[in-house]
Amino acid sequence: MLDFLLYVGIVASIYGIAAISLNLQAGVGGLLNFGQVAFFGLGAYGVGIASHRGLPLWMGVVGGIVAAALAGAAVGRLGRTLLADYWAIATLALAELLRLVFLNEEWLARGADGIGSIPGLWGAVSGTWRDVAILATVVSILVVVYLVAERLTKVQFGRVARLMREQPNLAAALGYDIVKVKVRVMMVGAAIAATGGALLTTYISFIGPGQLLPVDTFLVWAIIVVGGMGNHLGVIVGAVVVNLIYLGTRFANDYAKLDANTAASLRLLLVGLILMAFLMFRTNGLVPERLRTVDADGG
Amino acid sequence: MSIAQVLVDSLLRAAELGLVALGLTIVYSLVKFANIAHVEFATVGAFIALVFAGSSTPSIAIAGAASAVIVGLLAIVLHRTFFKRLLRSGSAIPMIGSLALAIVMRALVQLSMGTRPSSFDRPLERAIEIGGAFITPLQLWLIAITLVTIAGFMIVLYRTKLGRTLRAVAANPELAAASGINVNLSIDLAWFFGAGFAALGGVLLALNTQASIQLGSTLLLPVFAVVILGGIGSPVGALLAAILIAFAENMILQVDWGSLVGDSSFYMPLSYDVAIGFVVLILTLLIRPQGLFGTAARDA
Repeated sequence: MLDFLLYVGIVASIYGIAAISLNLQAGVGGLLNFGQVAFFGLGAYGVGIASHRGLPLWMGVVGGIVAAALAGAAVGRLGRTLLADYWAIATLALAELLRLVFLNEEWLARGADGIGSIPGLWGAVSGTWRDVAILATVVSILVVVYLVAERLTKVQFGRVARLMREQPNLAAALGYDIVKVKVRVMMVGAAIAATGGALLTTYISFIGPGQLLPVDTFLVWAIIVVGGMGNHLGVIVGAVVVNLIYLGTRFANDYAKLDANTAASLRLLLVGLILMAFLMFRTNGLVPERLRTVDADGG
Repeated sequence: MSIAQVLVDSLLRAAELGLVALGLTIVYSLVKFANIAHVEFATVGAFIALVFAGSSTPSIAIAGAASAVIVGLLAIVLHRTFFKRLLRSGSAIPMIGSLALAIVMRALVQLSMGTRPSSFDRPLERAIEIGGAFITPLQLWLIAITLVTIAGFMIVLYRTKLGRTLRAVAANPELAAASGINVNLSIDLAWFFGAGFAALGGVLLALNTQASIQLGSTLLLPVFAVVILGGIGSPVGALLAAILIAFAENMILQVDWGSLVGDSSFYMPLSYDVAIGFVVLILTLLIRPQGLFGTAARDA
């Protein structure tokens, strides 16, 4: 049971990082990124490729974060020509394209087989203490990411992003370069997501194209809607709640003994229905965004 | 690969994409959000038809038609209970909702039908040769059914009072309501036709290959590429774009690109197929931001 709780804690913290990233893009900036898994995946593959080529892992982490930030900038720029709805579909398409590249280009990262035996954090510690150390590490990084996101949301960066979400034409009329704002929000969001991806890869010691499926983007969306779009603390609550349900049912299946496919479908069905119910009855989530009535005199 | 075969295969692919894309563009033009779950109507349609169909051709035809009607009605129910409520908060929330619905629909199909693909109970046919290209009689039927369905809908849309009503609501719902048009009924009809066409497209696709849980999700990118390239809400644009993208897919996958990359032989890996349409779309939009058929796709 303790092992299970540590496991949920670690995975929930990592998903919390990915969710804060999406929350900056979608919750604060109103950018509907349906390809979040791509940024997460670039961070993950950065570590995987570094491990596969025998490079130091920190190089992989930095490489993954830089690659994700550049991809974020490119996707943000696409907003110049695409209507918001089209842009959302384009993000989904680009994430699928990235998955197909990793799947087909064997030379890049071993194609469908993926890269295994990636060294984890705290390799010198063993047993339960190692999980405790990993949990402490990911929670610390989550706290740092949270503080950075809170700060960014309060300063000019966040104010302009919120203005872009609520009144894009007004933002443009006030002289803000909307494309530049989009590019900045996407770069920061992508870099944070890549950090989460890198952490997950070191924890499960494996990365393959199967981890870049749109289902993971869906889980991150479920987290931010359940937690409360626009509220970073709420999103952390959402990460814990959704992961308790998603991973807890996996734990419950040790007793129910359904076959793997049925159990996986039931889990997705459950999270999907919860997301639908929240969108219908509690769109603002468990911890709604608090907007100041006067948002003009500095933050 | 002969150029005639590329043309025939493109026509078949355009028929597969055309019906589903037409359905999406109908719904999009009246209910202004991008429904990610639309392609799952194709999966559900294919499996419903499989449940009802026997082995005779008439029984398959009736099952296919019944499935399209059932899925169309299901879409009306989904709109009234789910999307209508979400649409009150703009177009972002319904789009997230459609992502959730897509996951739920796929999970339900998988729970009731299992993960293994299944096929209609039909005998294998010998392909006939037309000008150096091979095509089976069934595939000719699929193209014909698609053409007749689309032509029928076009006549309804541009030549009848019902079609004029639908176009009026698409262009300006407030004005349409003010002139006494029943907007809610028009929206119900759009969902019925839109989802019904997707289901029919799914049935035809399953007849040509097989019904699998991924039937809809592999259609997602090409179908959206077709709809955006053709210009949202433009049925004619969607059809032309379906032909263009189908042709691009077949050209890129079937032609030996060896001479271009300086190799003796180079074929694009087949699993890139679902992304080709979208890459074509993005390249087109970079050159021509307003899309192929002029309607504004520009809103920074």
